[in-house]
Amino acid sequence: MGKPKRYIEPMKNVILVVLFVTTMLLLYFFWGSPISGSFRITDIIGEEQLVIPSSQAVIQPERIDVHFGEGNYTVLEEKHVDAWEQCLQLLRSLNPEEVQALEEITAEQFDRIMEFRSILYRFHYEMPLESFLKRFQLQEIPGADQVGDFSLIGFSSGSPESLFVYSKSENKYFRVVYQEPHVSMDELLTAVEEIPSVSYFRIGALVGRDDNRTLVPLSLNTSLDEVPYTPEFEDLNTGEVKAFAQTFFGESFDFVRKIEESKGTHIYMYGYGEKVLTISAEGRVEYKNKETPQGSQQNYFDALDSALQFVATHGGWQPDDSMEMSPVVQSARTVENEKRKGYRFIFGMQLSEEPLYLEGSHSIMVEVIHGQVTQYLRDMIEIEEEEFREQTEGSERQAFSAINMIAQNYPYIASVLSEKGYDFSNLTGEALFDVISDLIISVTTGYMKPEYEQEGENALIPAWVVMADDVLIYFDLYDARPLGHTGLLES
Amino acid sequence: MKKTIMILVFVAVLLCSTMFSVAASDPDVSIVSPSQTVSGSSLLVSVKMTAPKTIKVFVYEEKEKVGDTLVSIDPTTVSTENFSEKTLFSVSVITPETFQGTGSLQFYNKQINDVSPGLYRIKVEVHDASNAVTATSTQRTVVMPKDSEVANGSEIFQSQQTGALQWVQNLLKSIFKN
Repeated sequence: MGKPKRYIEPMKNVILVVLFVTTMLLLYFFWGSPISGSFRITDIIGEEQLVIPSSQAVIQPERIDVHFGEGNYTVLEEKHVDAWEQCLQLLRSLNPEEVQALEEITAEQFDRIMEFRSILYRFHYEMPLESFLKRFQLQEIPGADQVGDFSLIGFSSGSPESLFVYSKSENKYFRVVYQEPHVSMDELLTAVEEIPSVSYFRIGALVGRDDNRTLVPLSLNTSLDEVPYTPEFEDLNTGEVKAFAQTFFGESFDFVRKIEESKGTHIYMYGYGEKVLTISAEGRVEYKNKETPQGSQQNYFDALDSALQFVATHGGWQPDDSMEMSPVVQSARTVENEKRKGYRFIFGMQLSEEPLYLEGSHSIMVEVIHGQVTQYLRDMIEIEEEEFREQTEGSERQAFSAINMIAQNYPYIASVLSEKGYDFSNLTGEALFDVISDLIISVTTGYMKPEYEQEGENALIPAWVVMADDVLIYFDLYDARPLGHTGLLES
Repeated sequence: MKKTIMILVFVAVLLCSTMFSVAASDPDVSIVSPSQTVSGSSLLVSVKMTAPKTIKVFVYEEKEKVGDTLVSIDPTTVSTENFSEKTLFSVSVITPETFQGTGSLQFYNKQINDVSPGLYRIKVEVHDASNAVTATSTQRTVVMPKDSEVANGSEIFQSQQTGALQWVQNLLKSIFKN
């Protein structure tokens, strides 16, 4: 009769274990509050492959200027000639033992040598030359540490054995002298001369002031037209938006409060506001992480890798239902917070090689400090490929004259720059025009997304994009009316 | 009587000179390009207007007659020869273009390609609403053959240190930088 009693205790233990496990499972089930929308097949078969662009792919020259000599220029388009890849190939093939000298030259010497047939690869931001050479697996340049950061690489037929580099932050020009001439650059220049290209001139040549070296096209025919788009997050009450928010806070949203404002903005706040995700009714995303970064300081390219990885896991680089867009670094600068240094990267998107600009915003901005993303802005759009083709493959029209666009709008450009701290109060007329045109760094074309759209009329506008001292100012491509502006230093 | 005639003559001279200066040029219209001498095979014409104006732009090549044919003027002889004593023939290089500027500042620009060396003349007429010419500006320019690059490029860095010396300096810097 003692046998049944002997089994009762082990049975109780088994039941207790089963109850405990069941409790844990139920807790997980209810606490996690899974809904049908969050059930994903990828949870079972594994996460889908992340698409992370390489740092080499997102670092592209902002523009490539070619000087044919005698003041005749063109700006290269990648569809015509793969000039950047040819430059990288040359830098890969150079023998470091053939470097005869790396010397600083004067701005005057640089300008004079570029009067010959020459090619300039321009970036609007700076990169450390040594790290750049390593990351792109290029041949080292003895003494490259002297240069530090660079924003321009150039070659000139006036000194065919030289490579020219410019450091914007130091305002210094350097010449790297090799034993042999760079034949491939001469061949590239010859190839460019043989293809039809748009003529560019210095602003100074067109207005009668030699010192202004910014290039503008003399006359431009283009088929750019308005392109309809939809914001990436149009309706914030969808599983897609929730899944996006979960990439920041985990699927269970532990210790996360969700606030819905009357204007339609959704705010996700972790803890006491250490991490805050704000998604506006227009679909603009802002994420801030105030937790103290625990990692160590990163160099430029490691910080860039962190940014690329972060965006890939938090929304991705391609909106789901859109034509393909290519991300490129539009701006990069160092930042510092509580003695911790990092980088702020602004990424622009290219639509079939034509850059996309957002009035008062950026497609993607990531701030990385000690390996931690402390700020992330995302303002992505979706464009149907078929609609894009229909709108942009029509007949060409003549764009408004670039120089007259500036001549017509220099008071507006002055008013925008005045907001950034410039004082033009004692200048008027031609004197003001001269000062404003001297401040212009580049004039390009692109698509501009207006900040405020009327309901149901979302369209990108073809625009002249004038860059003056870290401000992008937009004008209609065909009638030159002002469209707005964006500060590259604003967030 | 003599005094009256003198005054009339003086007034007439003043009026004539004023009319002449109005017809000669318009202070709101100026040719900023080309300069007096350019080299290469293209010509950039740029006209600045600082008031709403309608202009008509002409570009001529000035040629001289040798026998029965018109020939380009040798640009190297322009500075030495006295062209005021020669008869020059203006040959139109472009179809004259009319440009209407509506703002307080605008530019007319045109690039002319495949230009041969010689002497050229740019004429800009200012027209009023009835299409009458109210002022004219002209600019002569000499187009020289394209410069030889090889001769000049190496001179720019001649004042720099020699390559070997710079290399040694870089080496020393890299050794002692820390």
